[in-house]
Amino acid sequence: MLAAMSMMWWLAAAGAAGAQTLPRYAETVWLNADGTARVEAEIDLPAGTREPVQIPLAAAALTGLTISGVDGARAAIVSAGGRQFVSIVLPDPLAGPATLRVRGDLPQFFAAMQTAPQAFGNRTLTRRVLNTTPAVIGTLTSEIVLPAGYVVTSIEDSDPYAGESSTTQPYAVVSSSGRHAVRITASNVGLGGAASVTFRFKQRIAARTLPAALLVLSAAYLIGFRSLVRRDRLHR
Amino acid sequence: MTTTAPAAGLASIDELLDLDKQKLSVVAAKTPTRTERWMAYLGFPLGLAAFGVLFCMPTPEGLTAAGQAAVASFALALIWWITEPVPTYVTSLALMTLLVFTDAWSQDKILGVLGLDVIWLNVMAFILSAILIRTNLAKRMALHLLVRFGRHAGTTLLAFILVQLALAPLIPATAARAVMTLPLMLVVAAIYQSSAARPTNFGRNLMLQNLLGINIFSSGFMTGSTANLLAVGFILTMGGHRVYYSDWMLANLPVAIVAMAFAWWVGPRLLFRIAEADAQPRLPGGIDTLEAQLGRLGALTFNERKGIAIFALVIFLWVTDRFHTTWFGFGIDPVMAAMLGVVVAFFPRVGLLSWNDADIPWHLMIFSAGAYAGGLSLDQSGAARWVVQKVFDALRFGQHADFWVVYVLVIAVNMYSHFFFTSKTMRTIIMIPFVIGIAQHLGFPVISLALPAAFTIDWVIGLPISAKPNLILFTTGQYSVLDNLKYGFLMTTVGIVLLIVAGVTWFRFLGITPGF
Repeated sequence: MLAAMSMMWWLAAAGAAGAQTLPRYAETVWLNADGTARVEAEIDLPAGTREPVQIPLAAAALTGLTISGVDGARAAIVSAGGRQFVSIVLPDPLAGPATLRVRGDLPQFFAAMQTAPQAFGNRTLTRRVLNTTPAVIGTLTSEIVLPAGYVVTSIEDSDPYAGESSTTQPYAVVSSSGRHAVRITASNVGLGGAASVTFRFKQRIAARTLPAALLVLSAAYLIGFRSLVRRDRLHR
Repeated sequence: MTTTAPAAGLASIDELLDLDKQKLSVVAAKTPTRTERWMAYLGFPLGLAAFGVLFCMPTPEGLTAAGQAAVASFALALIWWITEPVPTYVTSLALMTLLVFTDAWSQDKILGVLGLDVIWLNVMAFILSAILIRTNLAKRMALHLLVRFGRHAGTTLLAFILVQLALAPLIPATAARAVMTLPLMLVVAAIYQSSAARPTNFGRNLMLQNLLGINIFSSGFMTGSTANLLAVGFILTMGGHRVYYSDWMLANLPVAIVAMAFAWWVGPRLLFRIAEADAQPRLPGGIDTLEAQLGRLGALTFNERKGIAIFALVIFLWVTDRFHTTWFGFGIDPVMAAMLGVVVAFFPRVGLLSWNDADIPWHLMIFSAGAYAGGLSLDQSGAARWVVQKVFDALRFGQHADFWVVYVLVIAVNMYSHFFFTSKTMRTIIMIPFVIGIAQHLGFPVISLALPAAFTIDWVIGLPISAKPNLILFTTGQYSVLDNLKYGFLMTTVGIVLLIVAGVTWFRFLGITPGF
């Protein structure tokens, strides 16, 4: 479950953290058919940011980590709350706003892909991004891109919750590079806030027998019920 | 006074008024016309083809697989409901089965639809209706109405329209209005020789004009439906403009009245022509017989008074719903008010009905359940929202779009969208914020688009599945789905034209729409 519920953990330095605001955190998780995934995250940092940015893409689970967007930024492993996280250390306070890009692989992201699916070939996946730092995130977005050939069956739950009277939906079924995806968005996410979505998805298999069956059924009806439109009956 | 002997070929007044012969729970056998036979013959494969194409095509961007399956299943059902290759309730059962088999919606939710308040309200409505029939109250009221207005079909139909106009501001629940007037319609239809087994054009006009009146007059009052109030809430919270009861009524009641005047004129003359010979009650002895029959009923009986008391209790609760929380500490929903009346009606010694008197058309409940399951699956899967989004995306309003072009398209989309929804509330939740968003995006006053769009909410007249009163009136068997579609489509188109004309004249005068 841990793999399906990775957390984002921003641990700002004490003191300045309370006032910190991060305009945007946007991650895209590219899920593969074998359950592995590649994650790409973009973090908008305001000018003057100098504290380490720590993300919980659990260091133990994350491989092939690369960082770009801010020259000289480097990754380090830190422990917090009994777990290890990736900490991005900035060389100097930022002179202007910048976008930090983090990429890595998650070999155990959705191990359930290896097990038998549920009814109708569905699998249920929950993605939850939790903000545990005092910094407020202006817009928090998580997009899960399904393997090629897979479709979203239904959205089961979300946080923010989309009630029956909601005029807008926090989630969207979108397309990314020709692949079906689910995107969840939350705004002004403070400490303890989260963006989460639970959805079912399945492999789209071209129906070959169904069109044939429908044709046969139609033909059988047209023959069996032709008396409905026989001339003698119509003139009766 | 004496009654005359029945002339050859005409049923006696006593036979006509014997409503036991017109049980709604019994599905009458009908002889379909040539067109109906062809429609049934071609409708079956057409429905399957629509389902196959929509279900097997690649899932469009933004739509879930469940949504795609719901759209495909609903398309099949819609075609079958209109063309009737199988009875409508069989189509509903087929739809519910398809929704499960295609993973469009879960089985427990589909089966749970039979427990929705709308189904319960229907059940309670038919039991309440039985009170009017059992006690002869329906017969008495219908005879009064016919003696006064019934010398010609035109005045009879007009009288019903006026009754619906009078009830609309008093009783917000449209289903309640349908229940109250249904027994009267049955009696009057019977006197004009129209029944489920042999429906005439008078019967079609009577039922469908009442259907139109119940729904369209609701659009004349802000309290005409919960969805109207919801739209007003959106206009206030999202658009910052408060709409008052008088604003709404002054603007749209004239539109509703003109629409119903047109409906009254066009139905018997163009859509379902009533021959002059059928335009009078076909009775041996004519109206005099009805007067004699009314005289024979004498003074109100004890049971009739009891029936009036029970109905008065229920209507009182329906009319005073806005005060319930103040009086009782909680609100009493129309379905619970009706249930209270039913409890009293069945109560030994106090009431006046036994279970065998209740004439509940279960085939209609099954039909309703299927229709609601189909509609709800479209809502819950996001398919309805997706379709609306695609329509508005396709319109591609540019930044410099002309207000009147946008106005016409917004009114048309909102009006016709009711063919794809079974819930006014859900339609309002989806459509009105879209319209407000368009107005804000293009820099038009929110009220200039959102309020006229809100005026279309209650025009749910196209199909029996479009609204609760439509379902209730459909049980009479006096018209087909196609009849409903013909009248409904014509009148929604007329409604669009009226709202456009009102937009450039009356609404402009009231300051709702901008000048040229």
